[in-house]
Amino acid sequence: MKILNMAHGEFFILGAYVVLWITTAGANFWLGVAAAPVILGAFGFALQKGLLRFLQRDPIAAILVTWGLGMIIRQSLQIIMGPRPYSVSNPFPGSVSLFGVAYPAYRIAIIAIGVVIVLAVLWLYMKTSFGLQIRATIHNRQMAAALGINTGRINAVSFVTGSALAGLAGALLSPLIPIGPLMGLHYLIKCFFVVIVGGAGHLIGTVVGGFVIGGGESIFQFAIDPVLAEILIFLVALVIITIRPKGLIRV
Amino acid sequence: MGVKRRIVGIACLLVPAGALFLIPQLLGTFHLELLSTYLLFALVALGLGLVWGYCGVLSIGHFLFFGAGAYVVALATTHLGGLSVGYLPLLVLGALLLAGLLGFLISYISFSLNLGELFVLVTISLAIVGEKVAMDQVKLFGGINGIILPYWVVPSDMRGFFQITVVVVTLVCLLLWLLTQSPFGKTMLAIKDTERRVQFLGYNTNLVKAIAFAISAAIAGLGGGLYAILTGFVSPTLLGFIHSFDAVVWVVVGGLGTVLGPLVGTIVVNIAKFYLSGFLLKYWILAIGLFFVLIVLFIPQGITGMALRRQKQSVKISLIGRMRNLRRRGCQESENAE
Repeated sequence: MKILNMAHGEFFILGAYVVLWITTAGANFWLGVAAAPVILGAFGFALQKGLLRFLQRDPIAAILVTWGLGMIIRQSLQIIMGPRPYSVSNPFPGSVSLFGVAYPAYRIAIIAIGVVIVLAVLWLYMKTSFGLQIRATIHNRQMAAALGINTGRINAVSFVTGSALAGLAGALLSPLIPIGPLMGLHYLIKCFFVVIVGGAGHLIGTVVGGFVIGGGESIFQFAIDPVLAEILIFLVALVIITIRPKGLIRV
Repeated sequence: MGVKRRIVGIACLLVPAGALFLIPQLLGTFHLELLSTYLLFALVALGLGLVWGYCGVLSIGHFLFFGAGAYVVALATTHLGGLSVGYLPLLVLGALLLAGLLGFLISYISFSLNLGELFVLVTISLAIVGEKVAMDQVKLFGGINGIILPYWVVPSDMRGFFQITVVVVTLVCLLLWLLTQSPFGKTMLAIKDTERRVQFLGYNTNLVKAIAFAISAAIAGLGGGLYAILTGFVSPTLLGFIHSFDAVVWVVVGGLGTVLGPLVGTIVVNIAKFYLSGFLLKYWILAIGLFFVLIVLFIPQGITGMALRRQKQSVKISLIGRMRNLRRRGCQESENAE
């Protein structure tokens, strides 16, 4: 949708904070996981309707405004929650033996949930008429509008979905990561690498990009030191866009 | 406009002269050092203003070049023997050239890859990778502790250093102004407007953009080199992402598409930060974030642009006008949709 959301990392970490608040209030962890995408989706909706709708023509202004917003969220979290990182207790503390290797149960649960969500989004994107409208709008906005597609609504829905997914991801990962005000930035950069590699504007590319970056980083980190791994990943990303300028997967 | 122009012209002469002779008499060493720092930061903003405001290329990693310049001076003074104060201008020149070369390579390769808007992501990523490298390579770059420069490098006479900074910044502004008036500057503006048409006219637009980027990186490197001398200390955070986005804020606040806007923006924001962060404490970042969003929304031409263009309307009217424009744009968007 040509909106580069610089506050996406903050949305992600807000999802984790939602779980933190709900579990400290005494409620179930899964209630938090269910609440996070709803709250972040509503937040994204308000943001899109109140601000970003006006900036559709000017992608740079959208970058600046969302960065300013990210700054505000980061600092608000810093003021309300303090700079120290929190953690959420793991709902599945045990481990499962998989192919003879013990693997933490919660990570397997996350993998399963992740696969389900990716499939659901892919189904929405590829198989429904609404997904067709989204793809048409990405491909050629004016033509889509001429064919009677409400592109304004498509923008709003995509942005809300994006925010809700960021919140859900943050909520699901909350037991595994330290939850601090500045963690959002860290993940924003990873998202950028994924988008650079996968190519913006198509979902399968993003999923493949996620695997390349995530998998590559783990392998490099295991083999050599973490910082070198990050540089290597960046170089890999650049090489990939040199060979496939439109991203790994073409629709 | 004519009178306005003349006032601006006279101010352009008076302000540097005043800064050169009057301010060192009025302020103590501490404030002079602060002001020098802001002026050196302003060099990054000036460079960014050139490449963004006149060429349409946004970089959110411009402090990479500032940091690179600072590390050049730091590494040279700590590792090369037999240097004295007389060599420092040479080292700063080296910082300028190296940053310019780095900027040229990065931007020319990226532009050749036809990244489009993703170029912003490349600049962000490079700033972060740069910071990580400087932090990780403890032997070469001193790691997270940075490098402390030898004692003799740091200026003993802050007044003299401040005057040098003023001269450098004034020269850079003059050069940038001449550049924007030159045929090269017109080509840059044309690229910002419609790159495709300029390509049809036979220009190698990637080369023009890369040269503009290299000039802006070189200016940032110059600032970095002088900064290393001023503070006698460089650390990885100088290269990083947070500072780089600060530079974007300065440019936006000051005004895009003017030569002097970024300079004004840097000084105003930093002085405001110095005085306000004292009693606003942690709410300061909140305030600047809010202020920044409002400026982007309502005064996209920045404070200098506003002073130059809307001299007849009061700020209030232009604010309301902006809101109307925003609403009109929103309506058009939904009309398009229908």
